[in-house]
Amino acid sequence: MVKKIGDKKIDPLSPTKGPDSVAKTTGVEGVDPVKATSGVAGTSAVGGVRARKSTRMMSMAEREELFKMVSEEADKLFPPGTLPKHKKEVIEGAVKMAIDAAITDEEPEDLEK
Amino acid sequence: MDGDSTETSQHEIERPTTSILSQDEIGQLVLEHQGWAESIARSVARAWNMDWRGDGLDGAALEALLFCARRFDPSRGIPFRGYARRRIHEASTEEARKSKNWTNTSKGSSSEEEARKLSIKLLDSFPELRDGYLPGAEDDDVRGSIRSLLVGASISAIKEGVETSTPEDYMDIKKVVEIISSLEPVHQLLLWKTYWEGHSLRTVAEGWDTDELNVIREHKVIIEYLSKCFSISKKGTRPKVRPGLRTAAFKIKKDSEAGPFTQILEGSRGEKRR
Repeated sequence: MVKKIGDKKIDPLSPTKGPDSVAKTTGVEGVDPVKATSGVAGTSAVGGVRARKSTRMMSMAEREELFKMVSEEADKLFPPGTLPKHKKEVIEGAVKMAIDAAITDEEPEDLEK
Repeated sequence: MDGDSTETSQHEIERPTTSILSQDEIGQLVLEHQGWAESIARSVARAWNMDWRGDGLDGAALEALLFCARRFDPSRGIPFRGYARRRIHEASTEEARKSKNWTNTSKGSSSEEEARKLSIKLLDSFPELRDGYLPGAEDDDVRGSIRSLLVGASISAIKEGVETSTPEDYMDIKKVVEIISSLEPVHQLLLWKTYWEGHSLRTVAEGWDTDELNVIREHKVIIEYLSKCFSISKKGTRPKVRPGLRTAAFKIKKDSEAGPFTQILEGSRGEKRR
């Protein structure tokens, strides 16, 4: 059921009361003298912004999985007709090689050493 | 690519001319990390189907390890491996490239040789790889990182294609060039300088007198856009030039109306080059 505007009765407004009184203003008692500045400290150089930091180091355990992903993504990116087949093979191979060259078989979990 | 052309590593900063550590400490560092350095050389050799000892990668890695140990300054608070890995990796790949087996096609197909050369460009364009990380994988978007590598490799690869491919192949490559040439001239120039001229994102930013982060973030947006465009099923919205690059973009437009990839399309193949 749809309620119509005006269905609900509104209580009548109560009359507003006038202000009782206004507090008196007081004079300014005095201003503290301006103190001399003790010199502005020199700015220090920003310690080099680390622009992009990956947090994920590749490991031998995921090598094959990464290669599989490269093939899958290459198929999606370059469906037939977008690149010569030979060129696609070269691109896919190059990405796998670059990833493979980055994965060592004796890598710590991080570079804390 | 960032890059990480983009990260500040200790060996890029001013180096002391003399060793910080004593000879004993240097020897200790080398001894402690020798196996690790050799594992880097092995990984490079494995990737390119080479012999890590026969092709001299072991020696190059150890030489780089010693170099880093002599210059290592523990007071900087950077772990030794974080400091040395990229240099050892670079030394190993450089040695591999100098080896006679680098161009020995009898060991593999011509595709393999082309892939090797292209992978070197990837390691240079995405230096995080040399540190053992996937590029731009701070969000744990592994597939996104892989797509960035594939797009980066394809931009580098079409350079060769434009110069040497058959007319049939060129028609396919042309499609990729067309997609890239639809970008703003400043975006085309960013790709051109990074993938065709081999500049790091940092160098590009310096050349354009802008903050490196502007270029890094713009590069990421462009690569994401291209990866959508390359796969036929998806179409992205052409990226706008971010405020930090507008001055450079304006200057580029003023100096030359068309981007470099547009010039390739408009001119005869490979003739108009910057």
